[in-house]
Amino acid sequence: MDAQLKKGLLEICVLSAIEREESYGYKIISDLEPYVVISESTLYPILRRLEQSGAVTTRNVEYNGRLRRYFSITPIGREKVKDFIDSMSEFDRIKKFILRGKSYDL
Amino acid sequence: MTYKKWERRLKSRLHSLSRDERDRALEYYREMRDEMSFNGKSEEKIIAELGSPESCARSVLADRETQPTTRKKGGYSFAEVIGLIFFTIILVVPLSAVLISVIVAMGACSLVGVAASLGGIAFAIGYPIYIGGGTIGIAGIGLGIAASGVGLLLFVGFALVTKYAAILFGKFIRAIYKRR
Repeated sequence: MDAQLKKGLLEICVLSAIEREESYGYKIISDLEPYVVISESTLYPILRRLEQSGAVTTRNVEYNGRLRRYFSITPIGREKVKDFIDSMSEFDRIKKFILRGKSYDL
Repeated sequence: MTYKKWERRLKSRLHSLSRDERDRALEYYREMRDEMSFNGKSEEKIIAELGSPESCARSVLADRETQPTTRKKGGYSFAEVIGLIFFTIILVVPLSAVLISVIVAMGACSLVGVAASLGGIAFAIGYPIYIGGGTIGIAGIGLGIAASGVGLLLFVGFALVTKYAAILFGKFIRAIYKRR
């Protein structure tokens, strides 16, 4: 998959993972695992980008003697997810256009 | 490799980041280590899953270019230039003059030490020849050697002071004009 496209998709995946309730790095990776494999070093820059763009906020919580940084989605983040869902129908149209007259087994 | 060593290597590869950014990245990986460890993974497995510190550093640094910066690196604003000029005229020039004078004076003193040392040797050799030996001649040799030793000590002492004064002066100038 194209790197830029994947980057954008992963951002949406991470935002979706924290949409219902705030979450932390390790749990985000575990929750996404059945759908998309994302490594620890891939997640870090995504979370930083989302935080810097105002899509998520963070807070530190002490848990069992260790620190967890929890990420919460903001209205900007929710808007991003909504925009992505809205653009899915456009993706479908583009896909149909690309596949017209072709005999790919999909 | 232990996690501590892994983290040290990661830290050294993130040196170009601000302290806050670097600490943030290290905290993230520490949290991951703690969670993995809590979930029963051994230190070896954790390090294998995290990957090499170099690849982790690359992914942290890859996004740095896109992160907003609050200040254009390496430049001075117009107000800063004006302030720096006034600061230079009022404080840096007089202070530099004093420091340079001290350095030159110390350098001169060390040369005096060399001259005293050479003079002492010349006296130790020449005086007995001039006097023609005897007790006074031997006393002259001793006096010459003593003067030479004192001269040598003066030279070494002042040369060291000159050297450190020059280094300090260099640091002073660099600290003032270092680009932030």
